[in-house]
Amino acid sequence: MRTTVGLWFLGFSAVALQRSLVPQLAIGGVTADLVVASVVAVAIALGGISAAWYAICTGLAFDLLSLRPAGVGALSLCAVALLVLWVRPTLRGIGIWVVPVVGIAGSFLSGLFYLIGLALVGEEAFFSIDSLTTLAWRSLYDGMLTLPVLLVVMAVLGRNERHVPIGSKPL
Amino acid sequence: MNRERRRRTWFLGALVILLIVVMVDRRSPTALDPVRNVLGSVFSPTEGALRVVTKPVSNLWDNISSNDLRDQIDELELQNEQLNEELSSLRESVAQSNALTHLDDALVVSDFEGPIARVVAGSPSNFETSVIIDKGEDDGVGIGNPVVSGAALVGRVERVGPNQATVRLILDRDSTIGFRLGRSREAGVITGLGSEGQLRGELIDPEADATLDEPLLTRDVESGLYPPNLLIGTVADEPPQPGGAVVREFDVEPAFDLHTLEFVRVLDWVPSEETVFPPVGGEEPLVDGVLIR
Repeated sequence: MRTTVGLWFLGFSAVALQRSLVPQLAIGGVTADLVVASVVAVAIALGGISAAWYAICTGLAFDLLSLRPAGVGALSLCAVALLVLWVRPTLRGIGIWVVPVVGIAGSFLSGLFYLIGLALVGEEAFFSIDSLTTLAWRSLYDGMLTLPVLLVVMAVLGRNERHVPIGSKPL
Repeated sequence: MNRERRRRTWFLGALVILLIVVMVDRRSPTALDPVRNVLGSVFSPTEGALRVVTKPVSNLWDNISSNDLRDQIDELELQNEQLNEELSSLRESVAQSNALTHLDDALVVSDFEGPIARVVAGSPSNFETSVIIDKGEDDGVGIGNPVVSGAALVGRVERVGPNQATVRLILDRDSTIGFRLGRSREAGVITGLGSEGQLRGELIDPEADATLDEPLLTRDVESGLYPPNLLIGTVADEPPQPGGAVVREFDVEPAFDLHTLEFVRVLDWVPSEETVFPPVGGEEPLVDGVLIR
């Protein structure tokens, strides 16, 4: 029950913050993506198919509120959540520094999938060097966000280091 | 085991539904509007409250990211002065071109009613160029209303909630506008280049020419998405010579500055009922509501 309520709260907060505060904290015209960071953090913290559901619901809500085609962002976020779930067992015992690395990779891949998705639905103009450059900067920004977001996710979902494979000690 | 299988089946079902959503939204961009409206009314109050609560954070960020506020103010004052001069000269150009084409009764921005709105947030994503304004349905704002800053066209309202609206800027990659040059009256098409803050123009007549700093105005097209004679921007570089290039594109400097955009006016004007709203990235090339073949 706590997990379900927590996920709704996290998803709602991520979308609302992404549409209000985050654009005002842009660096060099590049806006971070709190929704992506939260999807990666939930996938690391929670594991299991619930994280993919979280990606779908949050992504779809954000898509519907944006001006781009609905569903493309949700699909790309879902793909990233599944990838993080896939690599999650290998994160065990590596160390906390792995979280920003996963955040960077997840953000870049979600953006890449999104651009490919847009191209497939007829918006190929977005697939450009400029977009990829923006994506690279965004990934760095999101990577920095992932660790603090993960700590918030763990607190909200009531997860601790026993559940989350990011500690330096094998669990 | 059964439970796990059921969960996987549900998940695959969700993915299929998501694909259907993508296709439906592509085919009919307004089909999901009821869902969008519900979501908008759920998120809008929270977003408004978050903006108020987090204002000190964004103000602090502004101060950190601006190296020297005094220099910035001086620069802006200078720019303001220059823009005022440019505006006077552009108004003169518009008046001249109206007179030349017997359009003395053409509407100008001041002829329209409409609320003044504050820009409360920029694009929530790196892949759309939009702003959120603090006026919505309760203030008479409607979908399709053009939005201006001074005399400059900024964009059009795409989504509207009770107290806020999303404006797709003319800089967005999905924005295409028919234009007419201020002096030569040659027609063409402008597309946005995203958050780079630039526009790309292309003349319809391959032999036509554009001169540097020539103003570009919205075209007088029946069932167009914008009223005619709104200032879009100025020619920033001359197009290649006729016959010298297959595509004769040129850069256009928008008449407004995205980075200093703070207040806008929503014009009480809606496209005529016959206007075909361009499907975003659709197969049929629509320019300012007109089908181009």
